[in-house]
Amino acid sequence: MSEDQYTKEQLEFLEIFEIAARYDCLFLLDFHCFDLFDHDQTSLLSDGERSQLAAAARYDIYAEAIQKGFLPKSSPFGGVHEQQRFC
Amino acid sequence: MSNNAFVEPLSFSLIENGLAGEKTQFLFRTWRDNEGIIAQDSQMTRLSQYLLMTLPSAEPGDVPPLTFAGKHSTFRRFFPHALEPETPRPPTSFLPSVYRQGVADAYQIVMNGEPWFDIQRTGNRLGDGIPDMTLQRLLVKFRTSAGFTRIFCLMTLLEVHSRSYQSDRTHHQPSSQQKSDWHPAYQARVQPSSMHGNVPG
Repeated sequence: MSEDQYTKEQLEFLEIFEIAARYDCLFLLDFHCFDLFDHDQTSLLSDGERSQLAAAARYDIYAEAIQKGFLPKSSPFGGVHEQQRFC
Repeated sequence: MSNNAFVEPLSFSLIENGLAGEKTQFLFRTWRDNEGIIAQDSQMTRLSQYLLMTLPSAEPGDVPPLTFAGKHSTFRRFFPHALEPETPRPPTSFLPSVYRQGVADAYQIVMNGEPWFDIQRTGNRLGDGIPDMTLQRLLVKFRTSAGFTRIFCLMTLLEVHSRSYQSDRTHHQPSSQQKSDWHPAYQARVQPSSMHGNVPG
């Protein structure tokens, strides 16, 4: 499945999921999911809910990853988009 | 601690003996038994609604940046707007500096790997509209196997002393409780007859 076949909402969630998995902090996604939806089963969420979860967890997951030198990508499939780099 | 008269450290034996409530005991035991390593855990996830998490570094004399506040945390209860996306200020800026300075030392200890457990009498340090409270706080530092680090704070509201506070601004019914008639150190400070039902923090 190519990147183009994902919706923006799906990509937002996949990006956060990938970073959480890379930095071994998927527990943070569980925390945010439970806080928002009273369960931690992200597979049960709609695309809109996953996007909401990604927005809620974004700072928490990026905060330290960026300190460790991580440069966020625009998608989980590579290709940093210049306009979306964090500083 | 420095001259923080409103913060008093407590013995971890109170937690071990089950006198600090089930949530605090679970958090402390998980930290101890896992040697500070955090992983996906359904019980911890359930507890997260009561937790605050911060980065593991802070400016001298200040608290670390807040990264997560569970919806049943005391912070969310008393500062419900602090984590709204449109809020331009850092969440911790909602805490008056006199309070932040008073509770900051403990974070330095926890950043060095030690746990911290205390009781606080807030007085008017949390600002206008926030009641004088007795709070119990456990701080522990967790890290993932990949080195991702967070300080976990479990704050338990033991008593609201002032009557000026208008119940809860966001939650009309406090959810799950820990027993509040437990704490020897706490009982030394307040009359048992004045103790309220506990609200999770």
